[in-house]
Amino acid sequence: MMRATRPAACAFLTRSKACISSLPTTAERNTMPCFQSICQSRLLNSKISNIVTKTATFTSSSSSSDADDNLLSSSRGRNAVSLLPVYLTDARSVTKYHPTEAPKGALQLSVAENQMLEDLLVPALCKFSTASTSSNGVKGLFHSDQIYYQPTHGREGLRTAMSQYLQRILKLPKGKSLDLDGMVLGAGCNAVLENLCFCLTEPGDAVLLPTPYYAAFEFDLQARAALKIVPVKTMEFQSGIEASDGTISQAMYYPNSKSLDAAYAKAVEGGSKPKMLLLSHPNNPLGVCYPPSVVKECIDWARAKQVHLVSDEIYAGSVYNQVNEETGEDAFHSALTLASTETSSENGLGLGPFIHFVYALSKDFALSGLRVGVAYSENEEIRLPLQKLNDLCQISSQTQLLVEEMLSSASDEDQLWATDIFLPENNGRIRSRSNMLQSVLDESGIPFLRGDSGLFLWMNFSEFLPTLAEGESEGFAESQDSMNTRERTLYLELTKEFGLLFTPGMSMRNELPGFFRCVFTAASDEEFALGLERIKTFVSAKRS
Amino acid sequence: MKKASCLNAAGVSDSNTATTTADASSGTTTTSTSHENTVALVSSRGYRALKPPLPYLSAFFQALENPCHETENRHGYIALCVAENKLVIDELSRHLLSLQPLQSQSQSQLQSRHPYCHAAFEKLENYCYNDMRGMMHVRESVARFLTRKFLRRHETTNRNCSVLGEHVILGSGCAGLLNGLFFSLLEPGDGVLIPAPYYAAFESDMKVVAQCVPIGVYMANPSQGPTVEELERAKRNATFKASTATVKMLLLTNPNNPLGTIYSPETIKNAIDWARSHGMHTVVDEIYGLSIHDHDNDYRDSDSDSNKDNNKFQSVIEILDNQLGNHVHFLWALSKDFGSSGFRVGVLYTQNQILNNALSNLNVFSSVSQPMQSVIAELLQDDEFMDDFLDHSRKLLRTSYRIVVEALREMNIPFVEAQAGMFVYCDFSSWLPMHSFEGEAMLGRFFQDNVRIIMTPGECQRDDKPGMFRICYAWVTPNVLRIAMDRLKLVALDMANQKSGGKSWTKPGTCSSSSSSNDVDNMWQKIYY
Repeated sequence: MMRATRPAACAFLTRSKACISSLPTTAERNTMPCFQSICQSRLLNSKISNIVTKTATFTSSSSSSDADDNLLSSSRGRNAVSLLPVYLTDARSVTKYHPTEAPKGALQLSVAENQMLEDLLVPALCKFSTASTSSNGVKGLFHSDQIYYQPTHGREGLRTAMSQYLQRILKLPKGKSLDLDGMVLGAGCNAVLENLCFCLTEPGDAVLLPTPYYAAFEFDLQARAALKIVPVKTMEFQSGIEASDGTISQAMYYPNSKSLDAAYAKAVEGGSKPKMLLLSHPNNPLGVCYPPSVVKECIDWARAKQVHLVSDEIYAGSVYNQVNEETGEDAFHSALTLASTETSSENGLGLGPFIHFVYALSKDFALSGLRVGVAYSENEEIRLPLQKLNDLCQISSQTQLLVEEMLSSASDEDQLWATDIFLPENNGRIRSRSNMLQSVLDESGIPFLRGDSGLFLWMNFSEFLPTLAEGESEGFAESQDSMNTRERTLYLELTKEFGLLFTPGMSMRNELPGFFRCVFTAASDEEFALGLERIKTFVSAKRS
Repeated sequence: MKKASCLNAAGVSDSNTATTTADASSGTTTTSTSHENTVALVSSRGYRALKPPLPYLSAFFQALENPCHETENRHGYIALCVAENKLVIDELSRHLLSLQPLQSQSQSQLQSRHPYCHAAFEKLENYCYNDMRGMMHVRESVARFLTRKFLRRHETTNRNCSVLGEHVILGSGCAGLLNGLFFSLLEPGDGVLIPAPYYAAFESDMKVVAQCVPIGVYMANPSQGPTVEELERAKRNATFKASTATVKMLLLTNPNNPLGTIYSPETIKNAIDWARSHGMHTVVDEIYGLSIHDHDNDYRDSDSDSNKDNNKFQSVIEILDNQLGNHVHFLWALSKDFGSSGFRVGVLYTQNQILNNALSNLNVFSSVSQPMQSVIAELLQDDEFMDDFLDHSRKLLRTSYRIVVEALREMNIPFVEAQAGMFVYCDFSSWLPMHSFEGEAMLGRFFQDNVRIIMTPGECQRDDKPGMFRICYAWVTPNVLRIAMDRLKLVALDMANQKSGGKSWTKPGTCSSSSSSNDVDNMWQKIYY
């Protein structure tokens, strides 16, 4: 029974000459009697078990002390239940808006989904699902050879289509192409990112994350990969560039070698080995692309420190203002392009072993339910383990076929549906929503970052925070408890009294309280309009 | 081997992993890296994942490069090592392609519908975030199917008498779910008892991420499953051999792989009672549960008592009268009974709510694509098709099974009589050049190179007796299977001749050059394909 092995038939075939020699020799087989292997693994495992236990206590586990519970699951199982952000409990307890049943309920402006695309997506996907994929010309996704095992890291057809698609949206260097063997397709970005972590880090190693960051990274990186998250605080290393009106400028959030060094030192101080730097680019929650110089500095720093840089570019196709207004240049530069070097090889970008990339269809195509994620790396050492681990999160072959068709489908005029039709239209819709929100914020005098990408804007509501308690000082000196309490008060006020459900900045480890992420694509037109009204109402109520 | 030393330096203490890793990666890693660099480039757990999940995998890939075809390529390799039912795929494919759009759609939706589009691809909700354990309506549809086929009760309104959707969790294949079970129920280093011989990849399933330790249970009669005494002994031995390990789980595969036999309800019940009495979890993997091929009765005829006796297989869900409690967990998937391993749909049924909650979060790492979930829901609800399909599948399995066992009888090769699955466990020990696992490996090489047949060797299924091989008969057509059996018969003939001539075959080359004309030595060079 080959169930867990996903023989990866087709893909391995191309490399199977290498595999042929891998049948253990008689001598090797004799070194593998059952009990020997068991005892050895035990030593290894008990060693690792200690580390895991240590890191598990790092996360604030609210694990029940109920003795019965302990018999029903393991400590890491219970940990998985308690690792989710605290604010979600608050968010879930709020009555959600419904036009007739709960007209005063809270509007969902915190889940980074794009709900404006049904008319574009559904007919197209219906068409793609019936595209001919068999040699005998019968239409549909369910031909015999597609029901069977696929290569563990994804069908070659989809990897090819994905590679060509990424080539376009990431604007990879001309004349170079991604190495298909370095690409792994798995069930969502979370899954492929976790597998990368498994291959690149030991339990208890530190991963550096510039703040504020996507809250669910904490679960993805801690739950099983057992990494320690060390936030990269950027602001004190970007002094002198506060905007003239006292608001916080975009550049304050950019990591640089100084802030990375500081985080690195902090990790070491805490007893962890910093092994990874994770960038969200275009950035979630800031809604902006990092300038190329910032990404380049991170790349150079990572290479010099032998730290693995993973660039999460899940919003790369949602750069709705493609030209930077100030510089007149492209707003978005993929880390893959910036890290590319001269290479003699036909395949690959010359990234070297320290640069890695993840992407998924959940955001740019609003296809979170398809569970399609991509990891890319030119580190040959992790290639096979990455493919092997991927057998725990493979994508249904039919879904792979559907996506392959979606990414490569072209019209008669040689227009590609994905990049020439869908994404431009989608970006237009995102831009229009973003502009509407920006005007309301401008009118209301609320500071925010002028977003150019993603599905959200980063807003500064700090003027509406409750006043500081006695003995607390303003700014970075404020205690973490005070920041959390003040922001939660404001968050609950926004959700319960004004029906506005944003993502609170503290949940994303923002350095200062009072910042919120507003997702402007998850609401219907009517809900969004109501949301804008409610923001105005909130501001005038608070200021009066 | 240069690589192996560098791996050891990287802190991999498991010499198994190191040596096998070196083999597996030697193809892609052409340049040897200095070990300081290697340490930075890949983690020790990355190396752990390098170990091929199945030791015979490379032989299988070789077979794929030059596969035997009954007319086009009669001399090619025949892979009899994949426990998959490929015989039914065409039928499933035809059915899925023929599914007509639902009739309940409104007129406007019908107009927008693309001809032949499966309903699963028209629903926006299938493309958005949903429950990572699976969409509720799909889990309910699976629950209904489990109630009908495994609990074997007709639909009922009594909650206790049917499997509930909320207790069903879908994952990316059984491997993804097993990983979730090991991770959420066990601590790193905990032991899992598995009756041996067992599915070779279980070891990798539990080691790679969850870091649990497989412990073989050796039995007087493996085809009947473990007795309480045998379980007790295995647990005691494991604890004795490494004081750090706590044995916390029992993993049963019923119908059994590789034996193809069915454990009696008493065996299952006793094993579970024993495990419960020790506070241990029991996972019952019934992935071959609907591939019972030793009689013509289908479950739907089994309601009458007279037929029920014929049906030896009872699911743990039925045995426990659906009262799994917190410590018993059921696994199934579409991969085997429906030959659809590409779908990546595994099913876990558990009543343990803490586990369920943990997986609602953890399953973000191995969830099933939602349109695919919808397709599965529709498929499983089609009772008539399901029953006909499984009937048809059983007939095909039986035909191929008979081809193998008739040949085995002719060759005087002992085997375990199977009632289920798609494999036969055979005793080729009389063919061993020497009675050891080294001899088994040599015979395996001989089958691969001289006979061009790949079978699963007993050693990698942790059998303690050398010379056992598993023949998987449903991955190739019956005609190709016959070609394989004909090749083996030629070998058997030569073996018999040699035995009658009082000769024995030993290691190639060791039969001194003076007797180089001797038949025994020649067999190592002879081609049987």
